[in-house]
Formats: sequence, C-alpha cells, structure tokens
Amino acid sequence: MKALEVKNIIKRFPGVLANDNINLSINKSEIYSIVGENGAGKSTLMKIIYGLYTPTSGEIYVFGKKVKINSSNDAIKLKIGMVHQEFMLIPRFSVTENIVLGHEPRKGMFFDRKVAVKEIKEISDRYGLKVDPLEKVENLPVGIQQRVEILKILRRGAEILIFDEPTAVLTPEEAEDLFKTLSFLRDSGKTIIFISHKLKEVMTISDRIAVLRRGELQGVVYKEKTNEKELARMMVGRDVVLEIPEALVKRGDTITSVRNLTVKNKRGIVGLKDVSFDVHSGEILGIAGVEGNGQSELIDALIGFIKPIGGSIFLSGKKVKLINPRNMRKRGMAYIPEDRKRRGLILPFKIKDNVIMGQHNKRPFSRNGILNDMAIESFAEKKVEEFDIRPRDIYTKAANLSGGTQQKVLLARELSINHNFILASQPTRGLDIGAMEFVYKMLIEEKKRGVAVLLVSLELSEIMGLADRILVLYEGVIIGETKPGETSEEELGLMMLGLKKKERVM
Amino acid sequence: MKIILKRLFSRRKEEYWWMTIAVPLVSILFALITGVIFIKITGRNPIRAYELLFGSSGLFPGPYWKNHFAEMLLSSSMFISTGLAFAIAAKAGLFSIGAEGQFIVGGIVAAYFGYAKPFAGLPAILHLIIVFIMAMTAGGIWGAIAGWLKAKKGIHEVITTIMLNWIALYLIEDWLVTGPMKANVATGVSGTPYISATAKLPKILPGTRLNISFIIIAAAVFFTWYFLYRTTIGFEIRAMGHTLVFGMEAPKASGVNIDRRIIQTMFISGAAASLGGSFIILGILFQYPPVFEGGYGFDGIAVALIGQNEPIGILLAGILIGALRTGATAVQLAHIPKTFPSIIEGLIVAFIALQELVRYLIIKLVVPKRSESG
Amino acid sequence: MNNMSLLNSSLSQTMDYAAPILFAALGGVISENAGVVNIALEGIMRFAAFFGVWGAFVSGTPWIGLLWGIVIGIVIGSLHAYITVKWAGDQIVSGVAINVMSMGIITYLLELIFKTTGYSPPVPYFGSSVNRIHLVFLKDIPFLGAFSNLTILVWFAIILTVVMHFVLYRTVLGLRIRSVGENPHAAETLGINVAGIKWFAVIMGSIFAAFGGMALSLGTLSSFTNAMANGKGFIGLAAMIFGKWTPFGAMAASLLFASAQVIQLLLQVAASGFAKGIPLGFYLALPYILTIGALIGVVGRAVAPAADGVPYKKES
Repeated sequence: MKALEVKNIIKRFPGVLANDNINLSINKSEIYSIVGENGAGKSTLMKIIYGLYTPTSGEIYVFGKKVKINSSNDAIKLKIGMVHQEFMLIPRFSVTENIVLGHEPRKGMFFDRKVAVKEIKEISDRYGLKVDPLEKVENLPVGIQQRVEILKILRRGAEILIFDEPTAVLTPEEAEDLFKTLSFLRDSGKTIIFISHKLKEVMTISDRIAVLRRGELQGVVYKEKTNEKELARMMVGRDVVLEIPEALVKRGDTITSVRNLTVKNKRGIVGLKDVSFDVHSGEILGIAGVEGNGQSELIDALIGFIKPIGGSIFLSGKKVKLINPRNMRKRGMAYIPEDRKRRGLILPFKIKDNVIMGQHNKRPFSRNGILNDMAIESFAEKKVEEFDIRPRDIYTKAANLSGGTQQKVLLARELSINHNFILASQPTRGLDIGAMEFVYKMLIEEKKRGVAVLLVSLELSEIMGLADRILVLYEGVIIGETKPGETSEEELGLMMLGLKKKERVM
Repeated sequence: MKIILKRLFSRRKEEYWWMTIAVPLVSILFALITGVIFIKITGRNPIRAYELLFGSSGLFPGPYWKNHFAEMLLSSSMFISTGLAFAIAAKAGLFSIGAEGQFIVGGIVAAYFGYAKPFAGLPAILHLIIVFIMAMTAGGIWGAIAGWLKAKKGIHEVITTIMLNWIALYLIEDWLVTGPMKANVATGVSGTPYISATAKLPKILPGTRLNISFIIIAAAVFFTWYFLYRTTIGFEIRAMGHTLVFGMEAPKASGVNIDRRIIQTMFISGAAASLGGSFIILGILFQYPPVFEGGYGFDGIAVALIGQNEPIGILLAGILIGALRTGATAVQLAHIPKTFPSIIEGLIVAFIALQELVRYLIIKLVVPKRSESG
Repeated sequence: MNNMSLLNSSLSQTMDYAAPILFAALGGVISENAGVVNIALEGIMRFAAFFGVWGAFVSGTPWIGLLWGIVIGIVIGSLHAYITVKWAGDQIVSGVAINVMSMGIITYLLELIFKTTGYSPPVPYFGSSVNRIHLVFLKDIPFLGAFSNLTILVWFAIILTVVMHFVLYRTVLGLRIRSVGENPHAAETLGINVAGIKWFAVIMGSIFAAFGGMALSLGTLSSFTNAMANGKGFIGLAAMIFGKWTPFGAMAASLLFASAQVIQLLLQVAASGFAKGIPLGFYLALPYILTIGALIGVVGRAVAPAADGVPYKKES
C-alpha cells in the first residue's frame, strides 16, 4: 500500500526553482530516505508535504486519496507528522505542555494537567520513549528534546513521520537510540521519511533512498543495491571522497594553555570543572564529547563571554588577567563559532564590512577613528578572490549568501586577523560536502603555518581525521586523552559516555 | 572613480532599493488623504483646511511667507534634534524614549549658564559655546544614566528612560525653577531669570525669529551621518543594532566593547536631544518658564520613524512636522483645532508601520508588468 | 483623624492610584504574553478616558460611558492588531502612531463636541458616593477598612488580576496564548491559530487599558482633561516589566508605584524639621527613583516572552 505519493511537484521561489517536477511513491511501513546536499530541495519538498509551503504545481496523494495540504493543520488531520530540524518546542514549557499543545485534554475551559500527564506516561511507555513529563524542556538534553518532538506527533496519531535531518544535533549514541526508535516505529506500521545528507546513517537505516540534486530527483534506489559511493556521486554529480589529507607537522612551542579552568554557565551550574590542557604550535587538539558536557562553557570562557570562577588561561604564553573577548582577540585568537549567524556575521552588513569586523579599528581600515573605504574595499576584493567567495560582489549582504559562502566570509575574516591560535567550534555544522572540504583544507593549512588549533566538534569523523591529539569531555571533566592512531570511534564513543577512562599524563 | 561607479552600480542591484524613499512619501500622501476624510466626516471643509495649513506652513510661497518659513525652520530644529536622539539610540538597537527628559535637562542647563553671573559677562561667541557644551553634557549624562543602567545592570532602557523623564520633569519644575533658579520675585518674572543677550542665538533672517538653530541642527545631522557611517564607533554601533535579536553576540565576539558603546550611544543621543532644549531656551523663550509645553521628545520618535532612522530622512521629516505645526494656527480659521497636524503626524507613522501594505500597494500600482517576468 | 482611619484611607487611596496603572499593566501582560508589544496603552487610556466621559455625558449614566470606552478600546486594539498582526508591522511604530494620534483626535473632538480646549464638563461618575461599593461592616477593621468604600472599577481591577492569572496559567486558552508569545512557529505547526490568538490578546489588552483610562476619568475624577493618562500607560508598561509579565507581579508593581505616590503625599503633609526642607520636586520624583532603585536591587534581569515584539510572518 502506498502511504504517500507526490506527483510532478514544482515549487518556484523568486529566482529559484526549488523543486523541479518531483515524483515519489512511498510505501506504508517503510523507512524512506531522501538525501541531497544543502539546497537540493529536500526541506522544501517536506515543507510542501507538511503544508508549510504551497507547491507551484503538482499533486499529493495520502493513502491513495488526492489531497490538498494548505496548512500544518491539514497535514496533522491526514496523519502526517514532522520532526523539524530546528525543534518546534517551547523551552519554558514542560514536556507535557509541549506535547499536548493544540490538542489539550480539558475540564471545561480549564487545562486538565493530570489527564495530560497520564497520557504522556502511557504513550511514552508504549513506544519506549522515556521522558519526565513534568520537566521543563529547556533543562533537557537535545536527544530527549527530540523524543518530546516524536511523542508530540505520535500522540496526534501520525502514521507518516517526517524527520528533517534529525541526527544533525545528536551524538553517535543518541543517533543509535533514534535509529532503534525508527525501526520500532516502522515495525509497528508507521511510515518514516528520513531526510539527511549523511550517507553512512542513511545506509544504516533506510529501506529505500531517493536522491535529490538541485531540485531534481536523481533516482530512487534500494539500500541493498547501492553503496555510499554511488549515492555520493548521485548527490554531488561527481566522485567525492571526503578524505582528510594527513599533514605531518612538527609540533612546536606551547601557544595556549588552560589551567584548572572551572566555569559556571549562565544557568548558574558549574559546567566545566578543573580542566587543564595545552595547545601547541602546529597542532590540532580535538575536543570530543556529547553535547552539553562542558563544550559551550569551555568555548565561552576561552572567547571571554563568561568569566571563569577558577583557573587561568594563557595565550601566547602569557596569562590573561582580564578575560573578555577584546583581550582574547588582542592576544592572537581567531574564533570560528558554531553558529555563524549568531556569533559570526552581521547579516545585514555587506561582505566588505563583515570581512573587516574585528580589524575595523586598526590601520589601514581606520585612521584616528575614521573608516577608510578605499582600504576596506581593496582588502575585501582581495579576500573575495582568495577565498573564492561567490558572488564576487563585495557589496552583497551576508544575509543573501548561502551557508557555505557565509562560512567562507567568516573564515576570510578570522584567518586574516593576526592570530597564532584558532578556536574552532563545530566549524562544519550545517555545511555541505564541498564547503566542509574547504574548511578542512584551511584548518590544515593553518596548522602547517604553525598555528595552534583547538577543534571542538560533535562529529567524531572530523575529530579523528583532523586532530593530532584528542581530549574527551564528560560532565565538564576531561575524562581521557588519546590519539587518532591509538583509538577507534567505538572507544571514543565509550569514553564520551563516561564508561571508559584513560589516564592522562600532564 | 572605479570604486565610486561600482558603488552606484551595486545600489541599483538591490531590488526595490527606492522603497526607502517611496514608503515614507506614499505614507505621507495616504495620511493626507485620510485627513481629508476625517475633516469631511466632522463636517468641515477639507480643501479650505489644507489651503490654510500648507499656505501658512512655510513650505510654499505666499503671503507672509518669510515669517512662516522662519517659523517652520525654527520649530523643525527642535523636532530634528529629538528625532536624531531617537535614531542614534535606535541604530544601536536601543529603544530610547528619553528624549523628552534630555530635552528639558538641556533646556534648564542652557538657561542657567545663560543667565548665571560669571558666564553672562563673556563675549557672545564664547558664552554660546560654553552654554551649548554645558547643556549637551548635561543632556548627555541624563541619557548615559539610562545607558549605564542598561549596560551594567541589565535594566531595559524603555523603563529607565520613562522614569528619567519624570524625574527630570519634577526636579526641574518643582525644585529648580521654583527654588534655587527662581527669578527675583520683585521683577514680576515667574520661572527662571532671563538669559543675557550674549547667550541669545544670533538671528539670521531680519524681521523674523529665525536664528542659527537651524544651521546648528543641519550640522548635527551631517555629524550624525558621518558618525554613524564613517567612524569606527558608528560601525560598531550599527553592528550592535543589527544583531540585537542575537544578544549582540557577533560584535561582542569580534572584540567590540558593548557596554561602553551602549553608554556612549546614550550619551550622544541625550546630547542630541539637549540641543533642541537649548534652542527653545536660547532662541525662543529666553528663560525656563514655570510650566514647559513639552512633547518634543515624543514627536521626535515620530520624526525618526518617518525619516526611517536615517539622518537625512530625519532632516526632511523634521521640516515636514515643523511645517505642519507652523500651519496649525491658521487651520483654526477653518474651525479646526490646531492639534489637527498631530493627527496627520500620527497617521503618517501608522502608514509607516503598515509598510508591508504600502509596499504591496506600490508594487501593485507601479510595477504590474515587471512582476510577470520575474 | 486617628491612625487607623489614616491607614485605611491611605490604603484605599493607594488602590485608587494603582487601579489605572494595573489595568494598563494587565493589558500589557495579556498582549505581550501573546508576543505583541503594545506601547499604545497610553493612547488607548486617553481615548477611553475621553469616550467614557462622552458616553456618560450623552446618556447621563457612567455605565453607558463604560460601554463607549470598551468600544473605543476594541476599535483601537483592532487597529493595532491590523497593523501588527495582519501586516506584521513594527509594533513599536504602530504604538507610537496611536499615541500621537490620540492627542490630536481627542483635542479635535473636545472642541467639536464640548466646544472646549483641553477639558470636558463634569459628568456622572463611579466615584460619586451613590455609585461606590459600600461595605460598611468593614469600615472599622484595620486594613480591611480600606475596602469599605471603593469604586467598582477598583474592584474590577482586583478581580481581573485573579481571573487573568487563572486564564493564563490554568486554561487551555492561556496555554495557547503563552505558546504564541514563546514560539509562534511551533504553535503554528500544532495547528494553533496564531493570528487569531494574537488578535484576541491585543484586543483584550486594549479593553483592559481602556478600563484604565476610565478608572481615571470616571473613577477618580468625573471629567476628562487633556493631561489625563499623563504617562500612566507608560508606568503601566513599566509595572508589567517589573512584574515579570505576570498578572500578580503587575499588581504588586502597580501597588508599589501607587504607594510611592501616596507616601509622597503623606510626607509632604507630615514632613517636619529636616524633611520639611526637602523641595517638593524630590517628593514627586521619589516614586520614579524608587522604581529604578528597586530594579537595580531586587529584580535584576527580567525575562520577556521569547517571541515578544517579533512580528510573525507565516512562511509562504
């Protein structure tokens, strides 16, 4: 039986053809993956199915019936549910409130909390998705938040479940859990649509896989009859091997040191305890760990957003007395944040203004507090060329650039700041393969130049490929130190869960 | 040369770049039309009303044009001052409604240094410069208090500026003007003493009240533009305003001293508002009266919004509002209250708020064919 | 006057002062919990203060005045919602527009209807002895005596606070209002009518603010003057923020502001010695200085609803 069919779907945005005549036919009780690079049209297609976008033309059939889906309400009525890439949760509401919102159990006009809590308990037992119904969502780790999302759509009787890049924010273990859940749901008769650009996991869980490129459907294949390489070729249109070249560089002097760093986060919890390490010239030090185990506290302290409650930071061999971003920058720190829209770029600023941010008050860009447009523009022209930023127009606003291009602008800026240390926090988050390659290349070049790099990442493959040494953070403590050649992803995974320790010699 | 050409070219490329100009103009038009309807409903003659309003607004030649023109520029100066004050803060992402208080703080300080003994004997130019510096410093500090409370204590500037407005009002009217700064009762003057001749703003159009205030404010408009767009601090301030929703984290991570910039911005904003307060004391009233007809601060918000928070826009919007106010007295001849212009002013702002609708209408009306090809 | 009746009358006066502020603050609370900032509270209070008086003038009873005031609250609220919800306009700009217009339109109407500049003739009002709610049995009890002779509008402000608390935190509607203010996109995906909720909250908020205006013109005074509202709407906004966007918080803040006013009056009267030498201006400024002091000392950073003030646009 067909759960969902889309026929000749076209979606046109001003200047972009996001979906070009897409035809898909999805069976009941199957895990159907849709893969493609960023901008291939996966999310657009899903938003059409979920009623958030109206297609320019084309038809949709749900369980054999032709339907018109004009709003998410329509989709819900047709038993379609979606777990969005950015969770649609209200952090200040409890798990229960989040799940029942829109379909609340009532007692007259009042909200019947007791019945709601009971319902949540039942449904979470039935699907083996454990949650604490009374906890506030803002206090939950990402993996559990996702569970809340799944419960939310299950409670509404969803038969077709769409997952939009669900593993992007998960740790390997959380992803494992999710895959188990997905299989369980499929076996109990639900239809799963799984959107991703991570081929490895697609190969793990799918029954069938559809590949999109630039809005067009490239083909649909059975998992058994394909492999990662073929999928990648279909996705990108050429052979891709995302291999990280090895770069043997002699490790130099210590550039950055952290000693007994203890940090209290904004919620008042001590998130990083007594952490010490050194980063040397010509070395990439990887920080692995499940999200929420002290990474953000470490980064916030290093960039100077939070004053640590204990310990000290040494940059360029000198102790930083007053910890704030300005002083960190002065001592040669470049920073690649995980959220470039939030912490990196000024979106309404033009490329030329973004590439000088941070150096805008130094010569030649500014003299006596006055901006020098000539110098700014010729610098920007040079950087646009050097980093292959497209369009080559330095007057384009950052907001109008693709994610990968934005990251290039950010790198162009950060790497032209006088630096000997790079703090890179998930530098490839949300990027497609081409852009990832670019980031890796830049980091390795920096390393060859003798820069010290601290790489904080949730992607194990990234850390294994790039880092010279790896520290594992668990519950705010460094639980072990290892090297890519001496460990495996499995072992790292165990350490990240706090199940295995490795003594450090310092 | 190449760069200049390129810059012009790049402006063109953004679709509907002319909307920034078109939206306020069309809003003004819509507001005037709505005004006609309003007058009609209340049984008055709209054509006569607009004839009187614009005929004596100073915008167009006619009887007594010289005087109307002078009065228009005179009152514009005040609106532009408070408009700049709002816009400077707004550029940094701060919503300051403190211009009202900063305006009167500037006024009272200008009055004091205008009449107080050691200064009253100075040569005119020197005296004026001192008066302005003192008034702007005081207004600036009044603004900077709100900035400090925001930067160091995290208290929202909307609350603090409202509170500071009231504090300024009561301290001035119920303490300074009736107490330490009270004029000698024997002279029969209420309010503060009159300022000395050397502190009066020099007139520039014989036979009218027009003085150098408009020249000063025009210079302030240029300075504000230069400050915001050509200086590094202005660059940082705009970066802060653009990232307000993200807690200004991007400029902060790039090493911008957010706290200091907030305080500085509020200082400059307050100084701008205090200019208007100085103008009214030094050029029109020549003393601080017992009761001050305020409202310039709130009208400044409207002026800034009509001018799209851009200095040149504020200059034009300020002239428009000044013109409407100048013509207001004449409107009474058509049996229409002289507050009628503030209805028009409010309507313009309402249409500015409705700019999505205005844009939609403009695009429908102006570019029917182009939308097909795109 | 003995101490107890002074206490009771001071308390009762405090509540009288607090009611308009509280109404405005509650208007802000419901509107901002649905994500719409309404700085037009001030203008709406002024509109309603005038229309209430007009209605009472025409009909001879404050009740019809109340009705007129509610209607104008709905009209202005609809305008604000039309601009900010229907067209996703800037909420602050819209509020400024309404405030500016309120000045012009009311003066215009005053001249048109009452042929006066800036004030109306006296009209029947809720503050007159016949219209007050007399609870004689409470009269001589400390504290409770303050409640023995209040206007119906003060009582309504108190009741409304309690009702609002239950609506916001106990009912389905309240849950939905808050969800819209926190994350409208999430609410939308769950099939909640985001625009509808926002319209409702803005209009309700405007009606509350309208009551605030009438608490001035038909409660405390019996006529309209141009100086009416006089910043009470903005103080209400401050009370809402001070009260952390909750009904009871808003009530506490309104009472604090009002009690500062009353204390200032008492100090002026009762001041002796050194205190007598303090100029009037300081007493008058005291409530505002206290507010800033309280914000520095006690409250710290208040947390607004996450999507407060952000225009909501549906994706297309």
